[in-house]
Formats: sequence, structure tokens, C-alpha cells
Amino acid sequence: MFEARLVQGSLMKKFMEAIKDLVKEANWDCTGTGISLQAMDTSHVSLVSLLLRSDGFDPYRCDRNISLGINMESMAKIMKCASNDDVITIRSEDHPDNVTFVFESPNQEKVCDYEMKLMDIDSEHLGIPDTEYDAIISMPASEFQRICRDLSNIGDSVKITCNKDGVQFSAQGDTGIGKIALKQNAVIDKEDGQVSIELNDPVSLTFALRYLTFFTKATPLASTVTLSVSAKNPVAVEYRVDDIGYIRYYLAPKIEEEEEN
Amino acid sequence: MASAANQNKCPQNQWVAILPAAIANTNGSKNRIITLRHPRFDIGCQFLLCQESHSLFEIMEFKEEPRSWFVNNTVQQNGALLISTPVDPIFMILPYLAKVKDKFIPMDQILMDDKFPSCSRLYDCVSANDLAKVCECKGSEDLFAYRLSTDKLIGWIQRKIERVADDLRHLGVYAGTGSQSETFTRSSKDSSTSKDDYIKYTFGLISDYLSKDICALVEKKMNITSQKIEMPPSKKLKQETKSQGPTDDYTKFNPPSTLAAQVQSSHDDKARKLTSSERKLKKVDKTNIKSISSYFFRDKKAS
Repeated sequence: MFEARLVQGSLMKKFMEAIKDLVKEANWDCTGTGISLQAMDTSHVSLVSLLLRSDGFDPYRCDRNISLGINMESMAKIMKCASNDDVITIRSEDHPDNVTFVFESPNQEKVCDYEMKLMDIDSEHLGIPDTEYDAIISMPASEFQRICRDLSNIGDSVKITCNKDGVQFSAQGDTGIGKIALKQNAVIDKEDGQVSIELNDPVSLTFALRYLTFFTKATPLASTVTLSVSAKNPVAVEYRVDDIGYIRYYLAPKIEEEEEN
Repeated sequence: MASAANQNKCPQNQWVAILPAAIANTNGSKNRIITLRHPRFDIGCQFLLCQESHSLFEIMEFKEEPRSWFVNNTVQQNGALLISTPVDPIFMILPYLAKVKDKFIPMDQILMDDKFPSCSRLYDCVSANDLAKVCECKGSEDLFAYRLSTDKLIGWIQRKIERVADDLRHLGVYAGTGSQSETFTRSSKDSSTSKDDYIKYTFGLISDYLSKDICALVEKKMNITSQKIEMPPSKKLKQETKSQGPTDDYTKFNPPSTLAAQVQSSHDDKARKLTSSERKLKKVDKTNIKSISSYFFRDKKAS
């Protein structure tokens, strides 16, 4: 028996919105410690990793580890049926064919019960090494969303350059070039609206903007986004969600011609 | 045509038939009922041969129980009604010609059939001119040899189909798909049945007298797609072919453009399994991007 009750149901809705466009179907792995999901997009360029710790739920019960193969589109449709202030409960048996979503209104007057069929999804887990990143950039999530949106008007890919002066996002297209530079904030007490850069090595990488734009769908989940970049390695875009877990996106960089030669 | 009772004295050998006036008025002994091989079904069928006018009539029997006829002051128990329709004897000869395809042979030798010996009588019904429409001829007046020519045959059938189709159209016979009452009056003046429909309909009529091989040839030549009317077409098909739409004109309520758009969109839905976001991601140029899995190590049993 697996049962997880999330008092702040809107979080589940937001998580769904954050991944449903990128991932078509994925296994939700439910263990004693929490619910995790790892999946690649259909073209295997990016990876989504999601963790919802058990202590974020009240109550959380998982008698044995199960894997719920879920079609994201269908689940997103069901999640849309939940109101923002609903309490969402996810429930299934030990050898499930179905998963049940229960939406309870705060005053207990309305209870919606949706049962969804599960799928058998053959997925392989990728081990993500704890690498030392060359630069770790934290910034307001809305700021990153804005940058991605603005630069996608200019070009298809963004070059992220990080050096001791700050971080620069630049895009180039038929119409011209756009550059957005962010400097580290001096204000220390205002944590949230702050741009902070932990720099080990200057680094410059190019990414497909469209994917980054899709990652910013997680913006409602967190106030801060962290970009971890390393030369010739995928960027990790992390949204930490208070008290429950995180959603991380990884995107492979574009290999530039000069580097190949 | 005139309706006439074929009154023989012997009551057992008496039928009620609708015959052409020319035959009904002639001396009965000049008309014979002969059994011929049916060109389509390869079985024996009875035909009426008028020896005077050298014309051949197909006999259809309409029989419905219980029914009897009053003939003058007697009752005839057999209530069948025979209907005779003229038929082109060439159709009857075709199977024999097809049998000896590649050789030039005189007609009296072509028309030999152990099962249906009366077939030799067909020779009287056709002139050399008629035969020349479907055959290549060799020889002189006293002895003609014939060989079936596929090109001529198809041309001949094609002309026949077109003429019959034209006649049907003038007669106002409904040839569209589905059926329609003979007394049905269409509210809109112009008929929705196209020339194509008439051609198809006529081909269906004529193909009853042609072997399957010939039918296939004609179908191919005239580009007729045989319709399987027995199978009820699915709803989707109904929307696709215009002829299967309503015969009444409702276009002012539902302009064809929107209808087409609806059909189109329902097609799009099928083709488009991808969501809009997926299509957006598909468009991304990934030429210089390595697969994400190449950066991470695979482990099947992680957490």
C-alpha cells in the first residue's frame, strides 16, 4: 500500500506543469524516503530529475518500493481537475494496475476521486555524478525566466559566459545580437532577489534556448533557480522547493565547431 | 413492346410473358427458346431467339408465390411472369472468342459447345460488321476468320457504357449511391449524381454480361473503382466522398469550406499525436548536442 497526502496540493499541480511538456511518460519511483522521478525528453537531450521527500507529505506511507508508470499528459489532465487549495492524496496498491488521486477541498465538502491506469515503462536510470562545477549561479527564478524569454526572441541558442565580472547570457540570430549581463549583488541580507555566483573557473557554454525556456515552467515552484555549469558538461538547472524537495533539469551543451577542430 | 400471352393449346407449356410487339405478332414457330452459356456466370441460361429478325432476347422470370394467371376462361397455375429484353449477341459470343484467343478461326468453328449446342445459332444473329467491332478479321466474303482483339473489345465496351450512361441520364434513372424512390422528387433542381456515377452504374449493368477478366480490363482502362455497395461505408468515408453526402443542398447553412475544414481537422488530430510543446522541441536544432545520457553513467538499479 502506498499513500501520500500532500496538504499543499497546488505544489503537485505545479510539478506536473513543470515536467509534462518535456516528458511524455515516466516512472514515479515511490520508496520509503519519498517519491522520485527521472526521465529524459523524447530527443534525449535533456533530463528531468524530481524528488519529493516523504517528510513533505502528511502522512506518507510506502510499504514496499513501487514504480508507477505514468503518462504525463493524462496525469496533467487529472491534476488540472484539482483546485489550488485542494489536498491531494496519491494512493495505490502494492502491485498496482491503477493509481488513485483524491482531491479534497479544504472544508471537506467535496472529494474528487480519479483512478488512472498505469503503464509499463521501460526506463533506465542514469547515475548523475556529483561533479565539481566550474560555476554555480543563483538568481531569482523569475529573472531567469525573463532572460530566456527575451533572448528566445533573438536567437535559438544562448551562450552562458561566467567570469569574475559576473554572468552574461547572449544570443545571436538573424536580427542581431542580444546580451544580458548580471552582476553579483552586494546586498547580503536580501537573500531571495539576489544574484550570487560561486566561481571556480571561468566558463562559457552554449545551450538550446528552447529547452531552457521549457525548464522555466518550474518557475512557480521556487523563488530561486540555481544554474550549475561546467565546461563541456550539461548544465544543471535546479529549483529547490521548500520543505519537500527539488526539480532538476540537465541539458547537454551545444558543442561548438571550434572545439571540435 | 406489347404484352401478350403466349397461348399454346397445351396448358402445361404455357407462360405469360412480356414480349416485343414484333415477336408477339409473328408466327410462334419462328421463335425459339434456346439455352446458352451465360457469359458472366458460365451456366446455362434461357434466351429467346427470333429467327426472323435474328435478334436475341434475354428472358427474366419473375415468380412470386402464391400467384396464378387467368388466361381467357382458364386459370393458369404457374404465376410466373417472363420478361424479355433484347441483348447484344456479341456478349454471348465473347466467351467463345476469348477461349480461342490467339488464333484466327472461322465463326462456325468458334461457336462450338458440347454442353450448349444451340450456341451455333448465335452465328445467324451477328453480322460480319458486328464482329469486326470486337475482332480482327481475315479472309474473304465466303470465309471469314476471326480473332478477338482486346483493344477493339475494350473500345466497344467503353462506347456501350457511355451510350447507356447517357440514355440513363436522359431517362432520369437514379444512379447515385444508395437508393431512391422512383417517385422521389428532389427539392433542388440539379442532380447530385455526376457523370462518373452514371458510368459506374452502367458498368455495373454491363459487367453482368462480361467475364471477370474483361471486367478487370475495362475497369482499369476506364479508371472505374468498383464500389463495394454491400459493405456499409464507415462514417468517415461518408464525409470524404462528396457523392455520399446528402442530396439536398444545405450548403447555405453549412458552407462546404467549413465542412472540409472539419474533416481536415479531424484528420489532423490523427496525424498529430504530438502536443504543441513537443512540436516546439522537435524543431530545436540538435545537430551539435550530444545525448544527455552520454554525460552520465548508466546504472539500471539506481535508488
